[in-house]
Amino acid sequence: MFERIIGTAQAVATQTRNAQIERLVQVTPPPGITITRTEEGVVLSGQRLRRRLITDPTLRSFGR
Amino acid sequence: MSAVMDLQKAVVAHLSADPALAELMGVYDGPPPRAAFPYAVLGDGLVTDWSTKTEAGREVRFAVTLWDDGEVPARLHRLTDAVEAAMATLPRTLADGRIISLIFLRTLIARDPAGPWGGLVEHRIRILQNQEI
Repeated sequence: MFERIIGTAQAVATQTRNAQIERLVQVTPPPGITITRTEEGVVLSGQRLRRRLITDPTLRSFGR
Repeated sequence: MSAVMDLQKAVVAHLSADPALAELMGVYDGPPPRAAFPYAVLGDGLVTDWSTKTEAGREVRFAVTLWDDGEVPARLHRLTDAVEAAMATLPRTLADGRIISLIFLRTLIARDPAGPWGGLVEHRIRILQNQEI
């Protein structure tokens, strides 16, 4: 009964997610951090990443 | 905007007075040159505009970082929980503004092989500045 609505909502969600992923991979990462695109989103990687999340406010605010 | 500075002062006073945080050797509004463990530092946070048509406002990503040199993170876990609980009871009235909302975002604990345990407690705080009439 709601197949068309569900299909439309899924298409909009996918489009929004892809736009967000595209925006995030364009962000200049903090030094030593790399951004990798995945199907679900983006992955940040780098040395001492957890520790840097505590000490580096720019890393904590990534994507905002 | 002075309300953000007021917020920092209010948090320092509130955390310093909390009996559950009596273990802390100090609460600092910037990295201390020398401090005994465990201690807390109010970190720099992202500040963005949250003004309305009629009032000046700020949204602050407010981070409290905790540092401890213990062998295990048990004390730091206890302290991060206590900071989270204390932040929930932060007075909503500031010297030059008022807190409209205070939302817990995340905690994180990590250790550097060559350094102390580090803990993070982050909140999103929205402030409106008092208007002069």
